Amino acid sequence: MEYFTLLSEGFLRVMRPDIILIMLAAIPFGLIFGIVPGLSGLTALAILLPFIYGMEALPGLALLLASHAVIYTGGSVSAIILGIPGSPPNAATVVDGYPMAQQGRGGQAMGAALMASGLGGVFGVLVLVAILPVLEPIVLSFGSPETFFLALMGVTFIAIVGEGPMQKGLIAGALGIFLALFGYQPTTSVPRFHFGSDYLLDGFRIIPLALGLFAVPELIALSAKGKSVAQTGSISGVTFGQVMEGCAAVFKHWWLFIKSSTIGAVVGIVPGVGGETSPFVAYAAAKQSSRTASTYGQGNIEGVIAPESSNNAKEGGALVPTLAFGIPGSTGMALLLGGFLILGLEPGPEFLKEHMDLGVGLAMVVAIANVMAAIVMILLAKYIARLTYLRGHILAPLLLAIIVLGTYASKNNPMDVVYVFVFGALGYLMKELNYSRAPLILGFVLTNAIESYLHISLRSFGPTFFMRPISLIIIGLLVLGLVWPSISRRLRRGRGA
Amino acid sequence: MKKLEIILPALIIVFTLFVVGAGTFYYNYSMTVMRFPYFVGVVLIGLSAWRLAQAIEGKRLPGEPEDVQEPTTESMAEFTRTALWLVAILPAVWLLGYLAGIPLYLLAYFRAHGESWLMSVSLSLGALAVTYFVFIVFLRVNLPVMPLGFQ
Repeated sequence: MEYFTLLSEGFLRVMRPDIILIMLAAIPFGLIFGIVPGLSGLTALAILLPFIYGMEALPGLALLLASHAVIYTGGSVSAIILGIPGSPPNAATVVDGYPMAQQGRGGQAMGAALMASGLGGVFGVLVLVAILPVLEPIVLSFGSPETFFLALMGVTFIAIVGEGPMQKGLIAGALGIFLALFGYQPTTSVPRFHFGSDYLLDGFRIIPLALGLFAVPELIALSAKGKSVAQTGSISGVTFGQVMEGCAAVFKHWWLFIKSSTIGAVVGIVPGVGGETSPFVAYAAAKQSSRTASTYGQGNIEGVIAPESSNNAKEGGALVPTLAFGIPGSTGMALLLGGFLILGLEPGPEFLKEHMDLGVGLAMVVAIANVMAAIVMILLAKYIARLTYLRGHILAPLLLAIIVLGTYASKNNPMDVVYVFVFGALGYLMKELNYSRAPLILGFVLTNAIESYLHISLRSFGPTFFMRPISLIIIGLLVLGLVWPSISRRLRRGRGA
Repeated sequence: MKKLEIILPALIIVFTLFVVGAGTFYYNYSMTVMRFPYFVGVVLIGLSAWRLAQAIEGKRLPGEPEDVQEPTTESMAEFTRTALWLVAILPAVWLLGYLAGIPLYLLAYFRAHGESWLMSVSLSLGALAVTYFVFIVFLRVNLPVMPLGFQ
């Protein structure tokens, strides 16, 4: 009963005209960034960050979450029509979706993908709302030492399982923490490393850092490419009837949908994993248990429903560790943590205790955004997909103008705009050299908590503050996470020999 | 790429040493202020030095692609051109203000990249409208709108 009360209260909390309006603006933005390959969800989140300054918590986070939640819904359309995943997690959809489009069944594939995405997103939210109250008593038993190690584990895990080699991810995470040390020290308020600059008294800002790391390198790539991404594929053969047939197929394969969404939600809960993993796991599981496994890869609609259900369901799962522990379940959630910081909120045990209503409200934003995006795309996908014909030479400078204006608008400080380019150079280097950028932003966001909790732990418990049962378990998990890649490599080599 | 693989960790080491050194010897911060920077600095320098040594040896890390292509002179020139065009928005808004600088930058960019006059002018005017109505009127952002020296 309490579960349904939570759901209905969360729903009513979101049903405010200003929040609905914000979601209506955020959803097309997210869909466009999802559809155009090369513009990732991270870029969309980074561009939207400056606009939440001065907003209330729920509308501000609704703007970020609504656009982030629907990225993969948009990405499925380019995966099917063009054979190019709009976002990396849509890659599994290409395997069967693109052959379907080539066989003249693109509308069916799109309908199935959009319905599976929309309902998958709602499924993930139902899981999230079920888990949050159960987690509350557990996370409340965490003291400052446990929270310190949890935050440290968050940065380490996202460095280990993120893109690129682990060692480079760890360097990125440590660099993010180091960059956040500029400005007032949290416990003594001493201005640290300001080098006589007024700007550095407050330290580096999250917005120029996020935009520099995640938007500028993509703009350079887009501008250098120049041409439109849609060199192949056609949307002319897609009919509304076909799309509706595809939608109906999701209900026909309801068990596959439930199974794939569950995989998505569960994989999403594991910090840092989500991303590209869950759609492929769902695809493999669907193929393994299918009676028509031999036709997978040749245009089987099950091969579209499975990855797309898990894709959007994982975002609900990824919100679980983000809200409960302050550890992001996916790279997008790392940037979302930046949004929390801007709005003066700190996800984690205290957040769950004091803002459970906000947490459930955010879950409802994800659910409603998914449903709205699915409806919009089912009706308009054919037209929205034409955006992929926009040339890079047009998109890149227009987005750059929005970035420059948005960055300046956030604090009215021209130095922020300059730092977008400084961090953009760092982001470009990191991208080219295969350094994961998510640990850097996460390290940056979590540093204040890490340093404060370390300080409190040392003062309250002394140098042996880590000798507490939960802390030792977290340290064990942290060490296991660090050594596991090399153990698994050796095991694989041993099996191969 | 090999040079860049060496340059990035080397830069991180120099930057970290400089900042921690300034905190210790120039600002004379207390141990409470410097404890955490020391800890992070040691980890960061250790990891970067390890990576630097590997890069000098030419060692490939697990999970990295095998055939990384070295940038050619043409690709470097193309990158420089692209980057300079993007960075050019900074002097444009600094010298001309946001309201005039952004549309004029866009107009120059589109024309230089082969877009038609019609397309370039329409998009630039669209950007001008968005800058004015969304940022100045709706969001009430105090954008420097006049060219340098005339505000």
